[in-house]
Amino acid sequence: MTPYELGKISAFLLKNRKIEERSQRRAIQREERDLAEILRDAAVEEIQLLEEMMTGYGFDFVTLSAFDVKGIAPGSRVHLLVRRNNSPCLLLDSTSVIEKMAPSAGKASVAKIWFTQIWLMHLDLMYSAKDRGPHERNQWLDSGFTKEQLIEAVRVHINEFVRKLNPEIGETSEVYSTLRAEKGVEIPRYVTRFLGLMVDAGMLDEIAPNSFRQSLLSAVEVKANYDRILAPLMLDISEEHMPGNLAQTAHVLLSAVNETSTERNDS
Amino acid sequence: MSLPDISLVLKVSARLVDLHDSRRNYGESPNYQGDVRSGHGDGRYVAMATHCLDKLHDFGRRSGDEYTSLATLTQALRVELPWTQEVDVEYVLNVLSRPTELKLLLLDGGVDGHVITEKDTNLVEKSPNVAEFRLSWVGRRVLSMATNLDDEYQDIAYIEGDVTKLIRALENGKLRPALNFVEQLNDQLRVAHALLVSLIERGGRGLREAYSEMAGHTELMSRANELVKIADAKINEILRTDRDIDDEDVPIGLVRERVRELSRGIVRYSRQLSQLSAEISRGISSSVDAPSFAELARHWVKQQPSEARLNQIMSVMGPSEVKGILAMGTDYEGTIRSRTVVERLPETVDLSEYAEPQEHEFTRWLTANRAIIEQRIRDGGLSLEAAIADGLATMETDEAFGCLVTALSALESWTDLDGLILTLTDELSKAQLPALEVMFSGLTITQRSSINSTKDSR
Repeated sequence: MTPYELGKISAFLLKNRKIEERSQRRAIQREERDLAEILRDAAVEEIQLLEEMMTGYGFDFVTLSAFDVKGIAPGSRVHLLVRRNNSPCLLLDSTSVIEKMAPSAGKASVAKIWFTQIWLMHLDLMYSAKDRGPHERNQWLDSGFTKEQLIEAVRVHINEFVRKLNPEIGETSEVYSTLRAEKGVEIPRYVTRFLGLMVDAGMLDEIAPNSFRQSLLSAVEVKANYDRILAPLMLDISEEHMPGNLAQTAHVLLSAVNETSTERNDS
Repeated sequence: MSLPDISLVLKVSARLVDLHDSRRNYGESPNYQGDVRSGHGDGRYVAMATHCLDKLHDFGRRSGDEYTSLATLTQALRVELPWTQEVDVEYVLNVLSRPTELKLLLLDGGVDGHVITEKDTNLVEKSPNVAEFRLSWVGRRVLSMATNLDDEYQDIAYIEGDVTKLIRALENGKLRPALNFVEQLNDQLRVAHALLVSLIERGGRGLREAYSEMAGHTELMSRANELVKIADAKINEILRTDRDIDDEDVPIGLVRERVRELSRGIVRYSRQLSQLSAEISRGISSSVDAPSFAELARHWVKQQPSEARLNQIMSVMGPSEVKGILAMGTDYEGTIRSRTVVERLPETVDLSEYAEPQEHEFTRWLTANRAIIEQRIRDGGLSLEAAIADGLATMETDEAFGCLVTALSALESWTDLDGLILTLTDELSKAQLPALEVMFSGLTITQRSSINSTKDSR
């Protein structure tokens, strides 16, 4: 691999985050095929050099084969640039992408609120609804959902939960105020924008009209980063439910003690 | 000797029988209908199902168990069954992707036993929400059995026997069976590896159970790898001795490549087993159950994380784009040829054919006449006609007239005089130059200060 080829590969990867040798889903363009061939022929030291370079940019250079994950043709490989949770990549920008959610809202916070809420609901469809743990990368082929399902999930979330909350929450929570102000027509619009942004960024694949599936890149990133990024936030939920659980446990234990003492008294 | 699990064979036939007895007419809705054992006797459904399974097996092997679209399958089927309609294929696949309603009598060691319905009989898996299909685990397994009926156990535990078959085939110079054996082994190992990866990713209590089942697999793989080395040596022997082999149309290099792939696969599977062992020794609870992201969304409605935290999450897991403009490989396409050395030809320059560029002539003409022209302008103005009369259109060069017109019409590019006014008149004049006769409209250059001084003197 010459420095020129190294440059071409790194530029392509930074733009597309993925180089595939073969794909059943899409036609591989000549440039990508050539780069995949260069990577296949590269020596171990050259790949190490590329890995180190990408680590410097804030990525892990990951190569997967049919042995590692489903959905890769035997004998072929997929190269991915996976973001590292401990070294932010300065070359990438996610804020401006998310702001495209609500270009006319005038407030970046509105875009971010809608994006994060729909983002969590789409994760729920791909993971929670399928009883799939975040580390189950291999199940990415079965993560499909439709646009209608996502719209419905968001609608249920807003109508069945948000609207039933005490309106006083609105004084402290902008998320509540924003979602509460939804008039019934915004959900499909925001979901459509969300899906478009996710597909453009390579996080979702549109496998058929209005049918989507998690991309391999996203599955790999979720597996790599969940523990340090989202898992700590999940603790907030378990803490929220903790007092109730403890109270229930205490109640059960006290009842058992009472029953035992009653039995002793009877005897 | 215990009988093999023939329910696997029943699983293959059950859905085919159901399809055979279906009363659905061709071209009707592809939605699943209840089984009634009468149906068509022309065997079309069974034929379509058999071909579907075969094609799905083929597509799955080539794509790593990716789903195949209905359109692709129909197209592939039409090569062999030209009368196939897509809606009929979809119906067939919809049936194959559901479990059978046949009852099985499970004896389970007792005499009476009990009747069960076998749920795990769908030969095909349908992608959620999309008309795309792939073989189910059962479908793959039964097809392997059908492909090689002598080999009733396709479990990875029997890999040694399979590699031995490969060695025997190579010893006898039978390359086609050898290639089939090794490809089947690779396929089998890949599926076993993928299952193991899924198991480790899933984590939890299932790990320990799986590990106890795979207790001997590490030694097994070690022995299998030794056998693969023998197979590799047999191939080298064939290459070295150049002895007669059957199936000469099968390239020996391809067989060798597949055998080495098998060796690499065994090593990877062994590594995965080590990882499984490590996971278990670390403790069972390393798995993360499916978290409720909807619950997290509800929590965030009440209390959203800080802006910095959200940015951190999105920068690692959200969508992103590259900042600015990055140079792409295509930007340089054709401009940089690092590996091509262009041979330099000796350059020959013939000065006799050298023609001076026109701008050089203009520069030289202007250098000679600039002072005169500026003086004439300062003295009350200069018209084109007067300049020709003064001989400025014939001095120094043959192109002097062109130089004069250029100089007068582009004053700002060569003179520092202020307040210049260019006046054009409609009157045409003629002049006779040595080489040509020219006709031109009136062109006069004057300086504002000289006009003022003329007025003042009046």
